[in-house]
Amino acid sequence: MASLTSDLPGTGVETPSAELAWLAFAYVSGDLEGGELESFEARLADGELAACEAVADAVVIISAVGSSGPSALPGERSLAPVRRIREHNLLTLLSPVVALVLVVSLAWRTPTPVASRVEFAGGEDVLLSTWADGTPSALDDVSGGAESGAVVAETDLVVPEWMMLAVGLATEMEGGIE
Amino acid sequence: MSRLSSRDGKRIDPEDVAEWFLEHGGALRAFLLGVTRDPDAAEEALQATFAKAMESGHTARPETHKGWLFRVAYNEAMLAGRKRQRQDRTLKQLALGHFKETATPEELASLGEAIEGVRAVIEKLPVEQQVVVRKRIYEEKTFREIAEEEGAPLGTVLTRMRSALAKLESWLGDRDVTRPLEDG
Repeated sequence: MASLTSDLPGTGVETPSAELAWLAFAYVSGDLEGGELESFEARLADGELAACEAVADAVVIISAVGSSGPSALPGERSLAPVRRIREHNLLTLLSPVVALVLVVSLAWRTPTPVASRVEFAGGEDVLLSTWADGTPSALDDVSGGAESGAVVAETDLVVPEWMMLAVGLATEMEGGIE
Repeated sequence: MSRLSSRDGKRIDPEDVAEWFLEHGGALRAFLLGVTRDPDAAEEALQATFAKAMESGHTARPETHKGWLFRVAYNEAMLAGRKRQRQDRTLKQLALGHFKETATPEELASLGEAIEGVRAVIEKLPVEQQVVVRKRIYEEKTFREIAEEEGAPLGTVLTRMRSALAKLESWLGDRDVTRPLEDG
């Protein structure tokens, strides 16, 4: 960083100790360079007490913040409630959308077309007998026995990935909103 | 403890030097760590400083002996720096352990209290200032990176850091945190 002071807008409340604290921190953190660094080091070499003490204080401040755990950081704690509220709002907004997508997906993916085809081909009796004894009947005539059987079997046994995701999301939402 | 003679025959009472160490050792150690960023070089310079105090501490006026100690400490740090480059340690490395490794138990107790105090002051800072302090020191991001993340001008980020440091310095200035705690 070329110049820390040139980047600063005037705050109007600068005090010598505030200026010194800033320079000392920048010195310790390695942000001070060039002429500013030389000038500050000259003050230290002269034994300017305030400058030396400011360097010591900067090390204490860095120790205080740097030795904090990530979860115990004050900034993190202060921001956490805000983040929780934002997450909660987002989930509240997303819930109906997810539910709608779920309903549409279910309606689209359920094997109702098979039933429709059965009804079309042979009516309710054919469907009942097909489900009761598992024998091929009019289904075979309509869409091919093996293929339709496979459709039914698949719908019964395989849980679609999207459903797993939806259930997972719903569980996560329940756990996430406190 | 025996009395040592300086080169010009004048003497300083070793007990005075011991008192100086108790009063200012913590601040000097922190100062030297800030200057060298190397705990070994800081420790070496601290010992050399008090060796020099034994040798020529009598030349310091009582009312300015603290400044004298800091000046000597800085010179010793520069001498130590000729042997080692100023360490390019990260802020977190500087904070974690390196001060604690070399501090005396009294200094550690005082440091622990100071750290708690600084944390309490930080919690009272505006959230925007806390974020900058945390990101610069703990996450070790540059001010420019912080500005990009926060979507704020660099000057604003620097001002936030500066304001936070002013408040922390004000709190620290009200108490000599590097001085060992009084008994009781």
